[in-house]
Amino acid sequence: MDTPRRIAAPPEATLTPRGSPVAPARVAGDQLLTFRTQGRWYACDLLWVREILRQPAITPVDRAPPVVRGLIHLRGQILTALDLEHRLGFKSASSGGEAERCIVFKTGPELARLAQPPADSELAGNDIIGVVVDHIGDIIADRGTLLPPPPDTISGLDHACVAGVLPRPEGLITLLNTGAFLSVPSGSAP
Amino acid sequence: MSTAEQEMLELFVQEAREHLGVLETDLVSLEANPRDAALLNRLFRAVHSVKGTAGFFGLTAITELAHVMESVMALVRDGRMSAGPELINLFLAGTDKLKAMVAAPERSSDISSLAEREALGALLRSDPPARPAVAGNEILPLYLRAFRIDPELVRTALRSGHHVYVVQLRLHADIELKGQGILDYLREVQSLGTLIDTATDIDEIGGLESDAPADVVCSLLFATAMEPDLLLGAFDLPADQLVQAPSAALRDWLSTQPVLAPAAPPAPPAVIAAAAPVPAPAATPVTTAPEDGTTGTAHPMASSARTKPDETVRISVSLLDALMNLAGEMVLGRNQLLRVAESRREGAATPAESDGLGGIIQGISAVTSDLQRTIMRARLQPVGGLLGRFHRVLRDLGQKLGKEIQLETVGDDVELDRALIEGLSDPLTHLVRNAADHGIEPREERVRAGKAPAGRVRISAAHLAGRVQIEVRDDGRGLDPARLKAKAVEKGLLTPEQAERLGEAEAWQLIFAPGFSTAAVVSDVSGRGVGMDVVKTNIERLGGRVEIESVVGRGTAIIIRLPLTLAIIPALIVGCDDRLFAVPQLNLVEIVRTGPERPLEDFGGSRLLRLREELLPVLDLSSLLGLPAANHAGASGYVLILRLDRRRFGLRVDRVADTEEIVVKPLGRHLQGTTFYSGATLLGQGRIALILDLAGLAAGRLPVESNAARDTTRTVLRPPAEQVLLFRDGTPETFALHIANIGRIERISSSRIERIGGQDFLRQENGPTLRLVRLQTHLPVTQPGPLPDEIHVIVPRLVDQPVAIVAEQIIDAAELPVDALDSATLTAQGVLGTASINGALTIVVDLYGLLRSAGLDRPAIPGGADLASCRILLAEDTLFFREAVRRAFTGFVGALDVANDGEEAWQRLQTGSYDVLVTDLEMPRLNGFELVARLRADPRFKQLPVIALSARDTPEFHERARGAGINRFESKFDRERLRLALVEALSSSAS
Repeated sequence: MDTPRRIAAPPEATLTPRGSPVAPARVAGDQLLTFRTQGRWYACDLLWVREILRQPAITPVDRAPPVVRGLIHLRGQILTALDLEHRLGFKSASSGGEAERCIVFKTGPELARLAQPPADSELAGNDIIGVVVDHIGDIIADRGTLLPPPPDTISGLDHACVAGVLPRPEGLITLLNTGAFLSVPSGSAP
Repeated sequence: MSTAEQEMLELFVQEAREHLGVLETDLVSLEANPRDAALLNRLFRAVHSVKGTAGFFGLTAITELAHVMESVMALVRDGRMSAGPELINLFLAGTDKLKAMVAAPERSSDISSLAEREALGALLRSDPPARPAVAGNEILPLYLRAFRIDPELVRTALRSGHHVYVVQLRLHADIELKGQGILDYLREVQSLGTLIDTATDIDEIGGLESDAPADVVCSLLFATAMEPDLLLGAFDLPADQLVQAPSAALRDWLSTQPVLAPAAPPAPPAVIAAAAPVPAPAATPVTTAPEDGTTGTAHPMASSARTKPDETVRISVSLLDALMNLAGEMVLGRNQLLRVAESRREGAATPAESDGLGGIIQGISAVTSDLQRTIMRARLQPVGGLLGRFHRVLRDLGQKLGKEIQLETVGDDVELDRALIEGLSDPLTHLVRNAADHGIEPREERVRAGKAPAGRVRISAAHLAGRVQIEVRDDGRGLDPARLKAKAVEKGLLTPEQAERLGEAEAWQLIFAPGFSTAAVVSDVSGRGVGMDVVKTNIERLGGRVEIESVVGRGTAIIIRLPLTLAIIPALIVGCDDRLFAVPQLNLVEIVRTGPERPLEDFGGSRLLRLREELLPVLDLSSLLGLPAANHAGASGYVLILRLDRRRFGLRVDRVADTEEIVVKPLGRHLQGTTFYSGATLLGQGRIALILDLAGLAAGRLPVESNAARDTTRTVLRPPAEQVLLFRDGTPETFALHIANIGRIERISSSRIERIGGQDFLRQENGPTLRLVRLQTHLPVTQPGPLPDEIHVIVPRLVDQPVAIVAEQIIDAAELPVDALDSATLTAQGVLGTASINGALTIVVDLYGLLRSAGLDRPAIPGGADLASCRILLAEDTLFFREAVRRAFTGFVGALDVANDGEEAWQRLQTGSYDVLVTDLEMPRLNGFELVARLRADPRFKQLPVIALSARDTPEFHERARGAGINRFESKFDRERLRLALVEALSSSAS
């Protein structure tokens, strides 16, 4: 399988509020799914989300790269479950305990069937990928201002995966570039 | 371009590719048989079809090139030009260009075929009488002159009393507005008669992209038996768009055309070299990757952004229908399950047995197996397409190397999983190149050695013992062990002492070592930076094995054995800690239990297992995967003895769970490249098991010098083997019975056996009472003890009497190599012989002999005919199938006579008396259809049952076979099906 190395179009600094004409190069659609892991909030484009699994049984893959939490059986298919913090490159990432939820993302062919596939849908492959999180939050529509992500020297953050940070009344939400997030991180090839 | 158009275009691409593939193969054959009329006609038709369909799409670049090629081909066909190597080169270059254009039709106009067209055009001009057909068309009515008319087609049409029409079609108004696709329409047209030519005013179209409002008018020259008004109705066209061509004018025109008859001496051929200076670059054959659609062009389109369309498979409608039926049954099963679930929820009072759950599950399980089998069939493709490519590869190579090389392919009809065919392409190309480059000697050397000046390469494919064997064999210089060893020492791969110890077979294996190349000079033919080690890795990745057989001075054979399919494999499920893993059965030799009584020995850091005086290195799965070492030292566990190519090693696991047929699922992108796993699978309970990649596990972890290479001393070329079932019947002897003989196996309680008059019987609830045959009473074996509570009975197939063989214990299924059977040591009625299977001496049971000695005569055919006195006549021209059929029937019927073709079969029928005719359909002299037609017309043979064998498996073909009076049609060679067909043919003729 080829590993797409292209990175989605750079995020716009300011996003148009809802109801305004849609800007052509959007990172994400109008609706975002929020979720929490290790006390931090994240969001991804809802268009990418296929379904959410509750307390999935994860089969560990020994000697696999740390970004892979394991494999999950999903109705006759086998999906690769990623570890969120490892994927983002956090130096402090620890392999969490029980998996509470798994967000399952759409595959390339599934995205292609959408009337308006997300801009970074070409980064999707044919394999099913999910990410293990602690808690699923609300679906939010209005994104307001998008702040640039923190410098990677501090966090070890893989910048390609992050579109920016949304300041919300309830706290800061890291908005993911879903396509880039699901791709294989460079240098992690075993 | 609309989606519909895009789809049609893709259909065109698919069809054109097939035509071009045929073209390439046939062109190479043409070089060997330049006068072969059938071949020439096929070539002509292939180019013609490409031209015709491309014309519909206004793909002028393709049409122009195909047109010139077609014109020159017509000259060759009519004997006005000879097909020398230069001309073939030109045609091949043209074919390459066409392929490139067809690969990206939208861009076809960007590809210049000027050089090819010029070169071919020069040939046309050099042959004035053969100027395009238009030149000869002057005597025709005006509206016919635009067509390039194939005189043969017209002649045939007129001879059969057909009418010739010119049909005007408006592409938009007549086809698209009626909701049809052009290709469908054309196909329909062709089902009504013969399409002789199409003509489109190309200048008017201006490409598909232009939104020209004017409709494109296309004329078809069409021959059919239909009357004009009928035809108008069939085409759904107004009357003014149909003109009937006067037969008289066509006859006059025909008289000016040369008659094509294979026997007629051809007109003096134009010498091509004198015809035109052929531009050298255009004629240079390209040897790199000829399978690539863009070969031979230096155009940037290879890197075009056009994404590759989804791969498509063509499957027969009958297969699709079968799948549909199965899906229907699945739905039925689900509904039944839902009903049961519902009733259980409502009233728990229903006892579990009475709601029929068992039956439903059995039904679903049967449908699932059927579904799996049927889908597998859809994935199978004949290997011929792959093998056919090598004609071109070898021809080009031969020219380049200055060697004359002939290619023979055997077993084109053998079917393989698509994925395997794709995966085989590169390794086979490499092997064929190697054979041509290193194997086949230069001409002078061959002559000096007393060999035929032309080298021979043979690629064969065959199904053997549930696997596929592909063999690349050359008659070249062979692998010289001494030279190989010297080379390995020189390269530092071996020390001289190590080399000294290597046997012949082990020395051959050296060619698979990375960095080993036997050619003194790395040529651009086979030395492309990849060696045999890559070939071997690729084959192993496909689950196969590579073996070598060679005789110095006589040639080399590389033998590839592959599983039938990649998608489903039998596997052993093992466990470590709480994990489950699947190990392909293919690699498993045996399982050894370890423990205090059989400890693993530590030996200089590596662990070894002593197994029958052999020390095997043992890897520990837990420690490889970093799992907690569960109470290790001396603890119980299992060692799987695995075979990886020629090495054998052990793998320690904690538990052995089960064997299961697993569906292989590829790993996601994040796990690609993990060295330990080759995939994942879902087990029955929904658990996931990772499939271990044994090559990855073993890589670099086995001691370099171990007895692991021991396997090499075994026979290099394993003979074909048959599947047998091993069982015991209360005595120490192990018996083997051919699986083909077994209908089913049942486990019964021995209390159900009733003894009447010294014989044992088993009553069945639905079915006749079975007479039980005990091997111990009929075969020379030791006397048994009393029966255990539970026993097995084996119910044989193809036996008329209700009979079953008692087996107290079923051991396993195994392979019995044909030559392993020793029929001299133990001779008795009911015994075929003895063989050593899995290390134990085994008695191979002769089912029919056994039944006879049990007082049950040779199985009779329902209806009275008797197999023992049955005489079969086989008409078959291919040696391979002759052998295969002969083997299927030897010992099964009374006598089998063989005729090499239909004519010979007819002769034999005049003198001999036969009960059944088994015939191939495609044979020289008198083919199967003609033979059957003759039989059915003769009162003596009107009733003779006929079983036809043919690889062609289309409903039309079946229909035609039935219409011809063929009783049974077997599309693929399968021994059991063939036997069944015979029994059925006999019983229906008897009743």
